[in-house]
Amino acid sequence: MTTENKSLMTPVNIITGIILAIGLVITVLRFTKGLGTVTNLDQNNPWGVWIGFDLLCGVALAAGGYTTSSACYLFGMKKYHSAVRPAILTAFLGYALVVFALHFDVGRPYRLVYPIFLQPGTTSLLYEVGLCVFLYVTVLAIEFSPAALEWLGMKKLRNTVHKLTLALTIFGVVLSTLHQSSLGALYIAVPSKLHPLWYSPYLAVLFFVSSIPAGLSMVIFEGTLAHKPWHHMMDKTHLDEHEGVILGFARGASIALAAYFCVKLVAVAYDNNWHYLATGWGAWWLVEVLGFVALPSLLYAIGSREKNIKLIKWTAALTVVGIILNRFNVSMVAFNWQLPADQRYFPSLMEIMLSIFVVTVGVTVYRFIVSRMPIFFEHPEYKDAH
Amino acid sequence: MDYYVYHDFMMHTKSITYILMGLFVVGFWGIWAFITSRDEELHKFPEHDKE
Amino acid sequence: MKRRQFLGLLGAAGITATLGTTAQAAGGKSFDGYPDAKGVLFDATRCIGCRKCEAGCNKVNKLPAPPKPFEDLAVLEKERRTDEKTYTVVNKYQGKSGPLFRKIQCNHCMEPACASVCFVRAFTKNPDGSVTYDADVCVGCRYCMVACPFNVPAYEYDDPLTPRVMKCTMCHDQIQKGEINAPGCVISCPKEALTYGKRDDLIEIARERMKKNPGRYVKHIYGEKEMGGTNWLYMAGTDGFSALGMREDLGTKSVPEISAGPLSVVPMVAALWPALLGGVWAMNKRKEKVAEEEQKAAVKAAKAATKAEGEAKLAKAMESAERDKVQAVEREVKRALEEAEAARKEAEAAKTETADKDGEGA
Repeated sequence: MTTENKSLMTPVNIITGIILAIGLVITVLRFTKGLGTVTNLDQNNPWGVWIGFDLLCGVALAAGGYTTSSACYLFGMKKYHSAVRPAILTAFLGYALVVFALHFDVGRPYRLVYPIFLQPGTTSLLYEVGLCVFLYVTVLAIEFSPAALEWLGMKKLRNTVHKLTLALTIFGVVLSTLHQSSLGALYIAVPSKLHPLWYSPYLAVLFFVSSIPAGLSMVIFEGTLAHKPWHHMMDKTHLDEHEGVILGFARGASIALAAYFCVKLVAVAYDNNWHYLATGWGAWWLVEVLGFVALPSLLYAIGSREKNIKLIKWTAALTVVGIILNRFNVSMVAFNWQLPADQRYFPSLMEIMLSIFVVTVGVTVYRFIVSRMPIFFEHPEYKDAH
Repeated sequence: MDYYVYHDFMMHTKSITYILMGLFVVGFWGIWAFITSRDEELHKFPEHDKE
Repeated sequence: MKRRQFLGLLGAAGITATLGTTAQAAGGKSFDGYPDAKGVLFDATRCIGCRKCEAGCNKVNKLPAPPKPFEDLAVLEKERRTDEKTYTVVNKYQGKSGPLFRKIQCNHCMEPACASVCFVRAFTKNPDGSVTYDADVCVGCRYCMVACPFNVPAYEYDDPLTPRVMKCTMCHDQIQKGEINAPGCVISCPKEALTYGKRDDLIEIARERMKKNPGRYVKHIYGEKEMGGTNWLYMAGTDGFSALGMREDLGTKSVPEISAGPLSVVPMVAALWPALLGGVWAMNKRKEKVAEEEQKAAVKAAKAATKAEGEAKLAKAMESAERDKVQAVEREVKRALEEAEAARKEAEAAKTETADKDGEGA
């Protein structure tokens, strides 16, 4: 879509174009030949990387929206204000992509609204997730809309929406708490399939608590990535506050990771699963918990204490990888752990490519929006208003 | 109402609970608006003046 | 006590207050399933692995013909599971004294995991004991397959737009219509390894068989309690159920019971979070306001202080200026006086001089 114009023939655009083209081919295959052709899913492994990455990681990493907006609007940390818009934008795009990706994974995407409007299955935690994601995408769209409305010059509507900020923020935190935790609770139904080191009645708590450092780290990580290409779009406030945001978020993430680490241990203690630590699964669990929870917590602490921005940025990347690792472990690696190796799941190339395609769509839309709308700067006409 | 299956009973109770949750959200909004309707300052939504 | 049990009890306690006797059931035992629910008893010691049940099922349910005919027993050499074209399969296992066989199909749980996790209520537990599926509402999320502890539901992965979840229905429709009086597999079993009847009766039959044939069976009816109990029940020879590839670590708790804990927290978040977060916001807002007022007061005080200080300074300056002035005046006066005195003396002197010069002239 972007490769036509000569002035747009930059390397990034060319790669984007190739990935989008591959994605379109897979899309056609998925909707003409079915999941059997495109994926490695089978009767024993009904959920693959489109759930494990696109849904679980997508939602966890989009947690920056509710963490940042609640820090700024509810907990009174006004100095993070310039971080709110980029975080809301990422969260909105993240959730929109989750919904987009689900259209590939479910068998009949045209029925995705059935659980909400036709026949709600209220005993299902997936219903809880579906309802919350549906409502939260709406909330995020409204929360994000002032940026678009400022860009479009629709002043009156923008000011009306702006007045809803507090209510939307609180509603957003309620919805986020619910569906972040319910995503973990999805697996509470399968004690016989998930390895005991990852299965726990605390799965809901674990998923919710870990979404906080995930969200904070994503804000740091993405702020770092955005800083170079869009430096010229950032106003003085944004640039001045940038370092404070990184230091403050690093401190918050360090504490949240420490709390998450504690819950992780409690989960093992609950069913007395310590003896599994001596097995190969235990080694893998230790890699996750020591290398990607305890270590980043420590590094964040050092980074924020010594004001070492570079260390913090690398730690953010480490934390993001750690959260992805955890979601992969729960949904794929430790799921069906008792099945023989030849019945285990490994994603097909097309599944992975489609996930990359989904992320690329997100990045492309993000680039489009931040280059045009007041995300990294305050619109001159609304300076004192937000 | 008699239920033979716990799942059916849960479907019934959880459906009621979801309706209640919807009412909670609306109710909170209403109560908040009522409590703060005579306040000059508090009922205003946060205006983030920077100075 | 496990946390989910505890939460379940908490929930039960709450329900008791409103619904009376039924409620105790939530924490305890009242949900015993439909009283006339049917089931099937599978006796592994009678099964010879002839695959006739597979053929019967295939015929009754009008499923597509398999790649290899049902008479081909070589198929048994490889362990199979149910799939979108097969509602039931028989597997062969190696026992201590010869081969063992086990038939797999939907166990028709008394508290079905698939129904519990389905977010569109596509599964129903029927009064006849069967668990059936409605393709007309299914979204195709496959959570039922994830949740099924027996790995039974299968999915039409090769159907791009209208895939269904396929599983045994205990021939619910066919029996309801009166086409048959027992499930297809049961009718076609030549060895009476399968018995169709009321679940309660089947349990008694099984106990009876154990009593009458000491040493033939393990003393356990698989499905009586597993995952909250199933309507399909199993008896095994002395090799036990694990020799038949059946999991014995599933526990007795059904998925609805397991989910009760996390589900009970959901309304708590909706009820408590807005109040807590609104409170946090109001507290911060108040703090800000107080801080703002304090700042204003401080500015005012500072201004006042500056003013007072200024006045004091001014007064002091004035005073010192006054003093200076007085001194200056005094000094001036003194100097003037001195000068005047000097002038007078000079004048006097001059006068004397002149007078001296003039003599008697003055």
